[in-house]
Amino acid sequence: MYLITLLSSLVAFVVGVVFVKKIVLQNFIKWGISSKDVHKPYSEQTIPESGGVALLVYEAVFVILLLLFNKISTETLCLFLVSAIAGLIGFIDDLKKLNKVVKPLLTVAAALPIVLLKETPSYLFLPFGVRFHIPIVYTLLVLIAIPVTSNAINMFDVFNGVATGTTLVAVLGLTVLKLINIIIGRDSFSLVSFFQVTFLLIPGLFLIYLYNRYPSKMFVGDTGTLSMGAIIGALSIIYRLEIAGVLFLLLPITNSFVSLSIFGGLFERHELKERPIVVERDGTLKPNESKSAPVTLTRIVLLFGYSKEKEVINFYMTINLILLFFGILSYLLVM
Amino acid sequence: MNTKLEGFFIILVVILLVGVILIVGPKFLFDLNILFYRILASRIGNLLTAVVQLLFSGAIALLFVYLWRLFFIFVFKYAYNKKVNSTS
Repeated sequence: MYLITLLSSLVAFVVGVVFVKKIVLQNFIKWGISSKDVHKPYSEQTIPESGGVALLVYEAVFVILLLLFNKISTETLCLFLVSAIAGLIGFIDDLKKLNKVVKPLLTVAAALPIVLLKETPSYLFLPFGVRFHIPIVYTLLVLIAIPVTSNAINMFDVFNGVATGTTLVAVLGLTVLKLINIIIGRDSFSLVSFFQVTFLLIPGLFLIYLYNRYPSKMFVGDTGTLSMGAIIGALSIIYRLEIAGVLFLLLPITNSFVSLSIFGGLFERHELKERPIVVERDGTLKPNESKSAPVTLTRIVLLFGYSKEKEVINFYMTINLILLFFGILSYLLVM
Repeated sequence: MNTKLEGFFIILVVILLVGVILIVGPKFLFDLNILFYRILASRIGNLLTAVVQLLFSGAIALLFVYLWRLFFIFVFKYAYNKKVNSTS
């Protein structure tokens, strides 16, 4: 069983790499699915967009191989469906910009596999042993949670590799916590299913992170960001690690919260009259010093003197890693 | 202190503080709601007690969101003034 999972993952990874090299990097630019990196005005290079399709290709090949051997677990299938539906909505958004209200509403559809495959738990476990039996309310929370996480990651795709790196860190954190729970016998989750879910997500995320990290060879687009966000939300629910999921996602949630609460509602980047940050010809980043420019987390970071893209990426990734340790430690202490 | 390092610690502390509130907050609210039940249920009945608990929990949640936003406005204003004063 484990060998089939490992081999399926290996085959899917090779297909994923070939897909990125032969289709995304070579053909997406020809097909017009590309754009310039706005943070590198000195470069004439166009970068392929919607590279998140590679994650869906990896997952699809992995799931098809497991289906052929008739060995797939419900959790693995559920996570794949959530990721695929969110990715499809993202792909439509990449090709034809969706309305700022329609996009979050459509992502509710990505939560449906969790409800339909009965992966919704009836208990909500909170820190210090507090638990609520809320089967109906929990179902409603699931329908809200997936759009929230997918759009939080979508809004956090601010620099090369930040969204993919954050997702990879969060999924690694949830995987470590689940493994600890299984080992210490706190959880009756099947080890086979855990193994499948781990190999469904981590190699695929690692694959797109390799090509999306600074300096990006491809952008993941809304296809990737919506899919990755939905994955974190669904994994937190399926693993019953909701609070840990929120802790690992604190940075993207804070980023969305700062923008939405101070801006006063949903918005698309192209709607902004003034940019929150200014990019100089040599790629130096500066905060917009106009009082009417929108307040974003990146603008606040730049006001503290950060000026290089790499510096800001390191800033975000360091906070993510600290949140990873904070989340694991606090979960183990209070749950 | 180096401005970049200062910014890093300020933002990190604010985010971690939110994390701590998310961990401790539900238990705090849960205990308070039990206290409300013990004090009020025999006097005003279960339904009204539930309404009081709901209103109180909602108000606390809104206060949390308001303070979270306020924190970031303060951090923004602090960083903005520092930047403007250093360039002028």
